[in-house]
Amino acid sequence: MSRVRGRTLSKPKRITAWTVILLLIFGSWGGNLWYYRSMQLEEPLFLKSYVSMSAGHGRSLELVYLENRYGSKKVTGVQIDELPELSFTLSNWNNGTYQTVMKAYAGFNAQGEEPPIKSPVTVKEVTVFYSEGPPRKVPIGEITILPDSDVELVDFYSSMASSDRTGYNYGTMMKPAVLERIDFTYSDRLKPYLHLYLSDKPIESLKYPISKQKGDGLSLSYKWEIPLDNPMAYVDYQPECRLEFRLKDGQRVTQSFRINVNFNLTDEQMKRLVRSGGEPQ
Amino acid sequence: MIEITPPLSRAFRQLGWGFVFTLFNIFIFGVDILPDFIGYILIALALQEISRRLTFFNKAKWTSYVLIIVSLPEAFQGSGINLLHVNQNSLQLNLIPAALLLVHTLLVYWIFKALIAVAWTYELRDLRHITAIRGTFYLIVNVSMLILLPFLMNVTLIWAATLLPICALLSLIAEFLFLRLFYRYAKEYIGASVS
Repeated sequence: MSRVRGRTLSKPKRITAWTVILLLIFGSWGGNLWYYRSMQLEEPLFLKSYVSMSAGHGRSLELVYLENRYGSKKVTGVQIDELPELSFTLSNWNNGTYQTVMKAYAGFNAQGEEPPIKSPVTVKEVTVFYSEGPPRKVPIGEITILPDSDVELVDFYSSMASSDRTGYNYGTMMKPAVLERIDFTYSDRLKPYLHLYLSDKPIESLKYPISKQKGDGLSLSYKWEIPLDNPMAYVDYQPECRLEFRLKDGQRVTQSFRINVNFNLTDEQMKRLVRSGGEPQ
Repeated sequence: MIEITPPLSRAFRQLGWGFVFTLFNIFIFGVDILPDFIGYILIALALQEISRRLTFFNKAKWTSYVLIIVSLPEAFQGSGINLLHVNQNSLQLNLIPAALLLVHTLLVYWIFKALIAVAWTYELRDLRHITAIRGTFYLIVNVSMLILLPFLMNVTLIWAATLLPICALLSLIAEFLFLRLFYRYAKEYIGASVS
């Protein structure tokens, strides 16, 4: 037995080795548990959305929120009190390490039905229903929903939005008209980050009026450039592009279309959002 | 009168079978047909018999008693040795399997120490050498697993999907090499005496 002991570590060294091993094991478990808990949301977090849209056929409203990936408190329903007939569908958009980006969608009325609203509606809070606990009113930024207008001067027959946050809308003039102005909602805040082009020319460089005949093509493209670490990247802006025309009889007509955002958050952004308590600087 | 004490071959094989129970979890209709606590009972009985003649195994024997108790709740939970149990809504840290793995590693450490001591005593040079190498490998794998596994909570899915199969494979190799040793020791005339 003495030979056996001679080949192994001495008792103090054994005790030291096992102490170090146990400290590493318990340190790893404790540290990881603490960090995991620190990265959990107390409850689902609705991001601020800024939307100005008309309640026309095929238009849909989108709200983005984050919930813990393995948490038990999940969103089960969303309701706009001012528009209770709007029914939201919840869908998983992107899984992060700790959270999931979720989107709540609601579509407006089918073609031929009565328009859902007759005057503009501004929504700043929605009622959220949870799998645990009572429903709660949650601030969601500002959504302005305008009554659907029947104006259709441009027939937009093709549109595309890419995941690299670029897109286009192609249309044809249905009547002769003069284009007097192009802009987009929230342009005061979004101008540095959203670039709009008419036939590949930046809209800032256009010289109005631009005369268009019936059958003329209209090519509008856009490009989003929001740095991932910019606080603006955590706000879901859904601007509408507005085209202001003057008809031959002098009547002014504005036609608009939604500029697609393809809003998403990376895993890093989700972590940053949670660490900052929902308000990244 | 001459009394012949047979070797401990049967007890060593039983020890091997006990570890087979703890190594595999085979579920049929939701029931584990190789429950860990049965394995630890087999191990404890074998160690009881071995330690009557070879006192090197005393510490391992007492550790196996602890493991019978620690593994009992798992037999009722039926979750296997999953340190992290993930489903759609919850990620639970299963502390009992973690404690089980920790004490199991301690048991294997004591057994390795005892096996090396036996090999010295019976001058089984090759077996001692193999046991020492496998013991070191086993401890490195299991201690690394105990340290690394909690990181699965905080790494991305790609990392987890890479780390888990590697850990599982290394652990399986280490356990397999470990339990093969008992059948090699069973072939030697360990514990046999004539008085």
